[in-house]
This record gives sequence, C-alpha cells and structure tokens, in this order.
Amino acid sequence: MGLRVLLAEDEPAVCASIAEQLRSLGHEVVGEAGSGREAVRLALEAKPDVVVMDIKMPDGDGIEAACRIAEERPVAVVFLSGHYDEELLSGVAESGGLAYLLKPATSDQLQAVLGLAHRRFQEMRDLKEQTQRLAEALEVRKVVARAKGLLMERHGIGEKEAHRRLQKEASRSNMKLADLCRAILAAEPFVGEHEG
Amino acid sequence: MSGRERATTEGQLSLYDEAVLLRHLSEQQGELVSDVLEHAARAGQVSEENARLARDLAGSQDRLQEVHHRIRNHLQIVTGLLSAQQFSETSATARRAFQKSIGRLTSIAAIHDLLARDPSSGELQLPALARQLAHHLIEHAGAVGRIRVRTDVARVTLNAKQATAFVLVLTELLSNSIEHGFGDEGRGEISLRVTAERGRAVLEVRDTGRGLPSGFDIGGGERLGLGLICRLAERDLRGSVEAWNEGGACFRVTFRIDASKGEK
Repeated sequence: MGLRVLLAEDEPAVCASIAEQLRSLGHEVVGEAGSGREAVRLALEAKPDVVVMDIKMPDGDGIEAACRIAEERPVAVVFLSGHYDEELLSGVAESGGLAYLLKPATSDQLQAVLGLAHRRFQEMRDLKEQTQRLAEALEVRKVVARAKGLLMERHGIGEKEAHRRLQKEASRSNMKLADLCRAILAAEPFVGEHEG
Repeated sequence: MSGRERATTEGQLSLYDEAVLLRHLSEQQGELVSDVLEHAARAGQVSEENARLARDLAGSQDRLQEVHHRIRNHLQIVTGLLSAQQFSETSATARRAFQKSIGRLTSIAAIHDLLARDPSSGELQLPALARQLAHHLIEHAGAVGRIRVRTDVARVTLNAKQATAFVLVLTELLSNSIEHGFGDEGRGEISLRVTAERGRAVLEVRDTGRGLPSGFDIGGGERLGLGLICRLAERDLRGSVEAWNEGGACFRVTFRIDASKGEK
C-alpha cells in the first residue's frame, strides 16, 4: 500500500537517503521540507497521507510544525529524530504525533510505523466525524422536542398532533424541520409578549 | 584575661586596665572580622569557579549531544541507502547481503545509543541489549514465530571498547544461527547465555539448527562473519572462540573482563 509521504528533514543528505528508502518501500514522496515552516506549508499544499518529521530543524522545530499542521489540516505525523529525551517525548505527545522513531530507522521499522500511523489516523478521523454527526443529531432532537413542547402548551394539543403540525408547516414553507423549530423557539419571547 | 581576673579580685578596673582590655578585645575582633572577610572572599571565588565549571560542563554536554545527533544522522544516511538498495535488488543473494549489512549497522547503532544515553561511563547493562538485539535480528530476517530465542544474560559490566566488540560478536553469532542454522524455512530455538565469574565472561550461543558442516574450522574459513568473530574476540576482547556441534551449532567466546574504563 503506497502512501503519499511528506518528508521534513533539514540535513539534505539524510533527507535524500530517507526519501530513497521511502520510495523503495513503494511510497510516493510528495514533498521534502527543510524547515518547520516549510513542513507546515507543504502539508497544506501537497496533502500527504503521512508526514515523516525530524524534530530539530531551523525556523520552527518539528514539534511546533506538527502542532500547526494539527490545527490547519490534521494528518498522521511520525517523528524520526536523532535526539532522545523525556522532554522531547512529552512535546511529541502534546503535538498529536502518532509515533516516534529514533534514527537510524531501518526500512522494516519505517514500513511498520507508517502503515500503523496511517491506519490509526484514519480511524481517529472517522471517529471524530461520527462524533460530530451524533452531536448534530442530538441537537436537532433537542430543538424539535422543545418546539413540540411549546406548541403542546400553547394550543393544548398532544405530542403527536404537535409533531404533525410541525411537519406540515415545514413542508409547506419548504424548511428543514430543525430550522423551523429553531425559528419557532427564537420567536417565542416576542410572541409571548404580544399575547400577554 | 588578666584584666578580667584583676577586676574580680579588686572589684573595679583602673582606666589603664580598661584601655588595655578594650584594645585587646578590638584587636581580636579585628582579626575575627578580617578572617570572616577572607573566608567570604574565598567562598565567593569558589562559587564563581563552581558556576564556571557548571557552565563548561553544560556546554560540553550540549556539544556531546550534538555529536551523538550527528552520528545518528550519519547512521541514518547509511541505513537508508543500504535499505533502499536492498529493496531494489532483484537477486535474493544480493538482498540477503544487504540485509546482513543492515543488521550489523543496527547493532552498531544500538551500542552507540546505549553509550549515548549513559555518557558518564562506558558501563553497559547487557541483558536488555542482548535480548533486544536477538529479537531485532530475527524480525529483520523475517523469522518471527519460526525461530525462538531464550536468553539468560548475567548483569556484566563492560567498558565501551569491550562492549562494542561484544555486541558485534553477538550480532555475528546470532546472524550465523539464523542464516546457516535454520536457513529460510527451518524452525527451532537459539539459546543465548552470558555468565561472569571472577572477572571472566563466557558468551554462549547454541541453536537447534542443522549444525556446523563437517571439517568446520572457525579460524580457517573465509566467511566475513567468522573472520570478524575471531578477530574481535581475540584482539578486542582478548579472549578465545570455540565451536562444536551439540544438537545444533554451539559457539563459546571466553574473555577476561577489562576493569579499566577503556576508551570510548
């Protein structure tokens, strides 16, 4: 399974060698960044599946770049660094990085980590989308229930009848049920004043 | 103190005595004060010196970390190029040769890593490294599940020079068992044992594979791996190598543990 990989590494020779390694594994290197800032720019432009990110780089290190990318266009980030210390690890965890490889990384290691990171990232993205959809569905349910309650109270009708009237009005005025309910709820304070 | 004695016996001090006493006291105070000042000045110098040494040390440590970083980068370049070539080779023999080189390189990287993490001394904890190395080599050869490893490694402390030679010898022995003992299909077990007693260490690698060929002569072979084992064992470890068949191939390297710090 070939991935579109963005490689961020400031040492040209190291960068060239890792790029060769990635190509020989069947991946496409869609960009090579020599600084943190360039990594962010290319992550937005080249739309990679995975970013292989060095940490110590000029113009914004890899951890900073990963944070920026996570804000702008989240993507799976795998760190590949020649440095190892506790402080770096906590920065890596904060940045949303999915893995940390210490140089030198063999092709076996790169392949295993890239595949896993890509898979886990997709799962996370799917879960986020699902959560978003569920949150929206829940909000719609709440709005409809409140609008129904309002009609039931105002007209002394049952729930079924309230629901029927809402649906009828929505289809008559060509609105989504949730939008109609929101409009009813928004108008409620003024309607109350007028009648009272 | 004579003034004080006179004062108690006579009940009062003459003006002269008082003057002598005061001068005596002020001389003593003066000495004390100058002593204190001198100590304070010395303490100041010492703490300045300490601060300077701490700065020097921090600077050296930063530079050392930078050097380690550079070494890892260089190892990455070589690993990357060898790996890329391994994957693009069509001949199985060539691919295996690259795979072996990458295995050796990985061992060197592992030993460098261990030394880099404990810069205060070249002392190494071998058990974890030996296990890690064995599993890595098996994984690298695609033999996971086919070849099992059993390790029983004593906590031997080696200096950097011996540790490097030891890890390279271990890499060759393990690679030999994986490649020649079991080949592409064979299944079995490698047992890795390190014992240390009275300053002598013994490394034994045994496998349940097809065993050494008849007429095998460890010193006489032309294989790179065996040559490396002998040279490293004899020159760097100042020890000896034995090889025999016993339910598979068995290798034993015996050497005297060098207590000196050795060069790093």
